[in-house]
Formats: sequence, C-alpha cells, structure tokens
Amino acid sequence: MDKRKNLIWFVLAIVIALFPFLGVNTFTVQLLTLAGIYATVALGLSFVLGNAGQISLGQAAFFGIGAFTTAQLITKFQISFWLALPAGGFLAGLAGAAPGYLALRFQGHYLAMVTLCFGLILQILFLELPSITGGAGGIPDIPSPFILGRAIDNSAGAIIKTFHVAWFLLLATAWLLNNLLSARSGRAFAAIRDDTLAAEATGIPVAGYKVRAFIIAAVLAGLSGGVYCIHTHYIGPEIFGVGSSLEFLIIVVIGGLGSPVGAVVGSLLFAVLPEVMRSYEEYRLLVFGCMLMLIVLIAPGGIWGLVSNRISKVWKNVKNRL
Amino acid sequence: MDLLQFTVSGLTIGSVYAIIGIGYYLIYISTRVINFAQGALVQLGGVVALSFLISWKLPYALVFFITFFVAAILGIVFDKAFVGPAGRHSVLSSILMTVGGFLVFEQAIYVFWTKDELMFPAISGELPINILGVMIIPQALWIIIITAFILSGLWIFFNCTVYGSAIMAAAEKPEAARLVGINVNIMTSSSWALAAGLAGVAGILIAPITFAGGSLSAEVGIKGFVAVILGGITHPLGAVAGGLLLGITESLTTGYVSSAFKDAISFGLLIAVLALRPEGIMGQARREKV
Repeated sequence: MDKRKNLIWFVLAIVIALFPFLGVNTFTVQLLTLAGIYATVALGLSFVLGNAGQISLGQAAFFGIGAFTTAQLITKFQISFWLALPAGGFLAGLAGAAPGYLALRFQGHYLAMVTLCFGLILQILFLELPSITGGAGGIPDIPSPFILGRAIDNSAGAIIKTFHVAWFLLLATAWLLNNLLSARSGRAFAAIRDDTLAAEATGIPVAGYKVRAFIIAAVLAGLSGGVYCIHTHYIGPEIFGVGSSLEFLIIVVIGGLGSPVGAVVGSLLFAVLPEVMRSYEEYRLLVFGCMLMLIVLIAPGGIWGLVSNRISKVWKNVKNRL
Repeated sequence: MDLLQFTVSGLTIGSVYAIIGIGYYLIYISTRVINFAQGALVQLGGVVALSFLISWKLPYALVFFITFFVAAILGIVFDKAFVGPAGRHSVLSSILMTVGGFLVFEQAIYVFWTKDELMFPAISGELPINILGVMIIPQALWIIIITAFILSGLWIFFNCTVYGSAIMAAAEKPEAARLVGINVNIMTSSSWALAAGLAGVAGILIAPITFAGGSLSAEVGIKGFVAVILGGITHPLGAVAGGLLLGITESLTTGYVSSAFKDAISFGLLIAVLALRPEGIMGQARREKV
C-alpha cells in the first residue's frame, strides 16, 4: 500500500515537471501557475477548516506577509529568492500563531469574526506602513529568481518555470500534510474537530494542536505569497485584503473542505472559470458567492466530495460484478 | 470645545453603529448566529433607498419605510432558505452561509448598481448649525433624533406589546414558548426581518455622510459587531451602549491620534474586549455548561 502511494506522488511529480512542455501555450501556463499558488494557500486553509475544525477569515493577510517579506528581501536587500522565500514563510508562521492563540479562547462565530478583524488590521497596516510595504503603490519590479544562472519565469525559453516552483511547492506541502494527517496527529486533529471537549478528556493537548494548525496554514500561505510575488513581479496592498481572504474561502468550500484534491479542484476552477467566461467579468464574484451558498446548502463536501462519492460508488459496483 | 465637537460627531456615527448592532443582537439571541451579511445589508439599504429617492422620486419619509420592508423581506428569505437550513449541518456551515450572503449582497450592489460611491442627499440642508459653539450638520441631528425614535419604538415594542414579548420568549426559551402557544418559527423570522430592516435603515442614515455603495460593507458590518460585543451581546441595551462608546472612541482617535489607524484601533478593541471581557460592558458573565 505504501509503495503504491509513493508511486502516486512520484507520478504527480513527473507530470508537473513535464506539463509545460506538452505543447501548452504560455497563457495557459501562466493561468495554471496562479492556480497552483492559490491551491497552496487553499491547502492550508482547508486543513484549518476541514481537518482541525477551526475557522480563519483572514488567510490573505499571511499570503501578504509572505509576499511582502520575500519581495522586500529580494528588492531592497538583494537576497536570493531561495532564502527570501523561507523567510517569508517563517514570518507568516510567526504571525499565524496570533490567531492560533486567539482560537484557544474563541470558537465558531466569534473566532470567525476575530480572524476577520485580524485580517482587516493587517490590511490597514499593509497600506499605512509605506516604509515596509511600499504603501498604496506597493512594490514594483520584483526580479525573477535565478537557478544555475538561468532566470525562472514562464517565458517559452525557460526550462524551469514559475509554474514548476508553484506546483512543486504545492506537491511538497501536500505530501508533508498527508504524512502529518496519516500519523497520530491526524487522528488528534479529527478528534478536536469532532468534539473538542472529548478530545481534551482523552488527553490530547488541544491547545498545542490548534495553534499548530493555524501556524501550518499561515506558513503555507506565506510561502505561496513568496511565489506569487515572483510570478506577478508586482504586489500591492489591495491584493491581500479581506476580499482575497473570502476568495480563498470560496476556493476551499467549493472544492471540498478538508481534502487536498478539493483545494486543487477549487483553485483550478477559480483561476480558469473567469477566463472561460471573460465577457461576464463583473459577475465573477457574484457567481462564486452563489456557488458558495449552494454548495454549503446541498453539497457540504464540495465538488470533489460529489465526484469522489460518485467514483467510489462506481468502483464498488465494478468490484461487485467481478 | 474640540472635545465637545468630537463627542457630537462620535454620537452621530455611534447611533448608526447601535442600530446595526441591534440587528446582530436580535439574530444572535434568536438563532445563535452572527450574521456576517449585516454590513452588506446596510450598504444594500443605502443604494436601494437611493433608487427610490432618485429614480422613483418617492418622498424621504416613505423611502425609510419601503427600504425597511424590502430589507426585512430579504432577511426573512435569507434566513428561511439559506442560513436556517445550513445551520442544521453545523456551526461552520452557518458561518460560511452568512459569509456567502455577504459576498452575494455586496456583489449584487456592484453588478446591479455601481462600484462607485454615490452621492446621497441629506434629509435636510447641508449647512452646519451652530449649537453652543459646536458646529453640527443637520444630518447628524437627524441621525440622533431618528435613532432615539427607533430605540424608543423598539423598547415599547419589546416591553409593551404581546408580539414583542413573544419574540423575546421564543428567543430565550424556545421550548417553553412553544408550550404556551407561540409560533417560534414565525418569531425567529420576525427577528431576522427586524434585524435586516434596521440594517437597511442604518444604510439610509449613514449614506449622506459616507456615500451610498462603495466598498465599505465589511467595515460597516464589523463596526456594528464591535458595538454589540463592546456593550454585551446578551444584553438588550448592549448594542446601544457599545455603539455610542465605539462612535466616540473613533472620533476621538480621529481627532487626537490619527485617522489612518482609526479602523485598526476599533478592530483591535474588539479582539481586546473579546479576550478580556467577552460578556461586554453590560452583560453578565455566564458559565457555559458542558
């Protein structure tokens, strides 16, 4: 069983490595890079919501902390992207501990409101601290990183593309999370989600796990923020506000709570659908808002929940026939 | 004199926060839900009222009532069709649902009206009046008067009418209320209707000061929530006390510290109050039973 699982990860890695060279145009690669970046944030948020049973409405703030840290380290201090990226993730994780500790005091609606406020406060700080974040103008001209003397971007000539950075980050974090969840800590998180009191009574250190869940999600958001800034070469404060936090929430819920595949499905949908219906641009968020409400109402498992249900039913039928 | 001036403007904006906060209170006590869509309903009230005023040329007083009813019906439908059913799954579902509602209402404003901020006519006049050396714009006076009127109306409604008492009874002890023949479902809907309607009215009151539409939904909604938490979400007068206090705090911060961090300080205040005294100023501490 373990060998088969390892094989899946290996195949996924090869698919990601080869995908941009299978004759897809640059535009699609750009779009999918963005989807990969979103998916990493969504993966963390989905973990907090679906696996740990907590709620965070301020995830874009950590995305922003990662992006601003990485961008500033690259542009102001000329530090290599490969060092700046983990630094961004680290700072985001540090900030992520704050809502983690707040989650020890609040549950449900209160926690949602508190994390929302946390996101709003950081949004204001992004705008009002120009010495750190560039203020309303943001940080322009973020250079591409280099590896072995070659620039990483999504141009046709590049061998290693931003696409690879985004999707390998996603794959690596998904693999780590998967390991975390299939071990003892996975059952602990499930216990906390289903009944915090009972979990505490059986001796699970609930506080530590809750804080850890928020930190993990914040680190993932921070890292993808770092990749985002080398993807777009420009970041401004408006990208990391509450609106974006809600967009990440949409991605996670539409895709499927608590499932890594769901996070990827949601991100692909969120990145690709607006391009498909370009002429209806102004309806984009209205459509996604309605989808969010409908999914919560009729399919709490999200789109991936529906699909995987169907697949497992068909699979059972096939097995019974044989 | 500055202090008095700031206090008056704080009371003005605080009155609006109080009305929004009462909405949170009503919905919370009757369904244990925090309605994240409240802020978007306020903005929606503003643009709907503007349409009635400008396109339909209805009289101002009538617009108040029509907007109240439009928002109230929206609130009932939102609860019955979406939030109520979602709440039966889990708390998380009901949070996601009201957040979804926020998005849909906000986007509806952008799509069907405009993304820009719209000028909204004041109830009467623009020229400030000098009262005891304090310059007050007529709209501020109107806001304070109308809020006082609404609050006393609510007080009479909840304390002196059977219907109001029935809503409170259904909220406090649904089982017992059912036993004495109160239709709890209808009373819950009434709470939602009242809350949404008040949000709509708050939208009309605040629009001449902050413009109608625009991207302030989240901020306005959270201010109302800060108000009700500050005062105590379990106490009927919590939203009023909290709203006025928040309004004054804000205008003093704007006047003496910095307007840029005004909102950050309000939101920080919320986190601080929740962490240190979650029952608010007026509320009584309550232990949760396991």
